[in-house]
Amino acid sequence: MSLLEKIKNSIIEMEPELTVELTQSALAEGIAPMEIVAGGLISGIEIVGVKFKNDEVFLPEVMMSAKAFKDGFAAVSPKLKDSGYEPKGRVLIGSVKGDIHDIGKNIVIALLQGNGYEVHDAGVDAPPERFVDMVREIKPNVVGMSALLTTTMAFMRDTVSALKDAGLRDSLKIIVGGAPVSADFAKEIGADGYGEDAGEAVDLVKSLLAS
Amino acid sequence: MIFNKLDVVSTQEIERILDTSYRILEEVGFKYEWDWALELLEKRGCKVDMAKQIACVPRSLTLEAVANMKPLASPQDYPKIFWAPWIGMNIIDFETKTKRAGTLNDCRNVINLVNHLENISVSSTGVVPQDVPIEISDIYMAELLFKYSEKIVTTWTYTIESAHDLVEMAKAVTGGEDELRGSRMINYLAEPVSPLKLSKHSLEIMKVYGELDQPINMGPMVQVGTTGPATLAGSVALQMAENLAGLVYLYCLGSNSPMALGGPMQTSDMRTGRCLYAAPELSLIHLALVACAHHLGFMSGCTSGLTDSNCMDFQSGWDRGLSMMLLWAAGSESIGMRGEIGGGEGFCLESLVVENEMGGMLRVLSEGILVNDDTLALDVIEKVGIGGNYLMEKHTMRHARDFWQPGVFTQDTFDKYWSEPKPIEQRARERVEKILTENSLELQVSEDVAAEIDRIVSRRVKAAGLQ
Repeated sequence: MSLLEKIKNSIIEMEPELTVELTQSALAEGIAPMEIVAGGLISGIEIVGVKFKNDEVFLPEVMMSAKAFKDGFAAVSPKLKDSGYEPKGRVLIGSVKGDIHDIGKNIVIALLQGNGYEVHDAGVDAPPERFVDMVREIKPNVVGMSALLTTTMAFMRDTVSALKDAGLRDSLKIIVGGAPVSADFAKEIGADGYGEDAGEAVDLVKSLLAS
Repeated sequence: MIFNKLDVVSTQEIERILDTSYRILEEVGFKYEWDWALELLEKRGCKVDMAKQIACVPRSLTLEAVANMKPLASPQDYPKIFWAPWIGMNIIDFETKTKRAGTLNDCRNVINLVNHLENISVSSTGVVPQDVPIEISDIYMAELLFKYSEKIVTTWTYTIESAHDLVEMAKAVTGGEDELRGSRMINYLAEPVSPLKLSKHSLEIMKVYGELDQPINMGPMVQVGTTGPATLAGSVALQMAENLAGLVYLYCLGSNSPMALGGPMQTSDMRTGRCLYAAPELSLIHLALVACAHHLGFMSGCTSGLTDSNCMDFQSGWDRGLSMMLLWAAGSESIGMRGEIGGGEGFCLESLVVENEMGGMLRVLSEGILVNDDTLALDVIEKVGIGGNYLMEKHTMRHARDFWQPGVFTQDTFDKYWSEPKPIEQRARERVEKILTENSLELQVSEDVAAEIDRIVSRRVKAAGLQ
C-alpha cells in the first residue's frame, strides 16, 4: 500500500496521530505537498463525507476523521505556501451576543475544517462589532452565526445590520443555524442560508461558494 | 394502592450515581459566570478560581444544601401535576401541513384552550410570540398568562430586567411582596449550559426569584453523547451535578425556594448530533433522574410526553404514551402534556387536545383501585347470584358514572366509524374549534391589576426603545 493510500486510510479509520505521522513520513520521502493533500488527505475525507451522508459513519466518527484531516493538513501546510494551494473557502463562525452555547458551532467548525475550509472562530457571546472587526481582518467568504436561545436570535439580525453598515455585507455570504432558527427567519433577517444541522451547514457553504 | 414501583436503578446504583455527581462538583468544579456568585460560594467553603470563574464545591456543602432546601412537592403529593409547558417557536397547522412563527394570538388561543382542558394543570403560551420584539417576548408571554390563565403558569425569563418586571406583575396579581412570597406564581426553569456552566443572567434571575422564595425547577439539558458522556449513567451523574450546582447556589443565597430536580435531558441521534425527543434511552435516563431526585427528597421535574414524529400517527401516540406511562409508573409527580410535535419543531393545539385525553386516562390510573366494603360489593354479588346481571342494581346506578369517558378518542363500532370516518386530528381540531369558538378569553385579575400589568409592559417596551 502506498504512503498516500495509508494517509487516506488513517483518515477513514479516524486516527489523527497516525495521519500526522504518515504525512510527515510522506514529506520526508519527498512527496509533493499538493500530492499529499489531494491524494491522501482529501481522498480520505471525501470518502468519509460520502459515508456520513449515507449514515454509514456517525457524527463522533466523522468529527474524529475531520480532526485527522485537520491535523494532517496542519503538518503539511507550512510546505504548501509556495505551491499555490488555496483552501476551498474562508469561513468565520461564532455564537452570537448573549449566547454561550458552543456545541453546535464547534461541530460545524470541525466538519468545515474536515472538508478543506479555513475556519476562524469568533467564539461565544460574540457581539456584532466582533464579527465586523474579524471580517475586516480575515476577509472570509462566509460568515456563520449560531444561536440556541430565542432571545439571542435577535442579535443575528443586529449582526447582519452591523455588517451592512460597515459596508461588508456584499462581499460575503451569511448563514445561520441553531435550535430556534428557521429558514424563514434566515430569510427575514437577510441571511443567505440556513442549515438545519452541521452536515447541512457544510453543504450550504459549498453551494453558496459555488454560486 | 401501590405506586412508585418501577425502578431502573437500585438504591446502591442511585448512590453511586450521586457519589459521582458530588465528585464532579468537588473535583472538576462548576463554572458560575458571575463574580458575585463566586464570592458568595467562596465564603461558604468552595475553592474558587476567579480567573476561570470555576468553583469546586465540597461534598459537605452539597449535602448540607440538599438537607436544607425544600422540595417543590413530595412523592406523596398526589394527584400528579400534568404540565403543558412546551414553548416552541412555531405553530404547526395540520390542515395546511405547515409550520409558521407563533404570534400573540396563538398564545391567547393556547391559554384559552388550556383553561378548558380538564386534565392539564399548568399553563403556558405554547409558542414564543414573534409579532412583538422577540427580545422582550417573555414580557408579553407573562402578561397574557398572568392576566388570562385560570391555572398555575410556567414561562420563560430571558433577562434580569424581565425578572424584575415579572416580579412586579406577580406582586400586582398577588397583592404585594408578602403575598407573592407565599405563592407559587413564578415557576422558573433554571437552565445550566451543559456541561457544567451557569450563565451570569441565569444566576442573576435565580437570585431575584430565589430571594422571593419562588419555585425553581432545575432544568439542565445534558445531551447524551454531545454535551455529556455517551453512556447513560455518566450523563445522569453529570445532569445531577448540574442540578446540585444550582441547588447549592440557592442555598448559599439563603433562599427558601421550593425546588424540583431532574430536568429535560436529551439523547442524541449519533448519526447527526440532533437532539432526540423520544427514544427508549431517553425514558431510561428520566427514570433514573426521578429516582435520584426522590432519593434526595425532592420532587422530580423530568420530561415526558414528547415525540419525534411529525404527525399524529401511531409513533406519536407511542412516543408520548410510553414516556408518560413510564414516568407515571416510576412515581414522577409531574407528567408532560406538551403539545410539541416533530422533535421540537413546533406546538400543535390538536396534539394538546389528544394529550389531554391521555392525561385523563393517567388520572384514572393514578386513582388506583379503591378496596372497601362498597367497592368489593359482596352484598350485590350475593343478591344477583348466579346468572342474571347487575345493570339495574342501585349499586350500579351509584357507580355507573365512575368510568373514564372518551372525548376525542373513539370507542365506536367498526361500521359506525367507517360510515363517517374522522381521523384523530380532525376530531381534535373540532374540539379545539369548539373550545375557542364558545369561550372568549376572560380576565382572571381585576381591571386595576390588568392595567398595572399593561403599564409594566408599556414601560418595558419604552425602556427597550422598541415598538
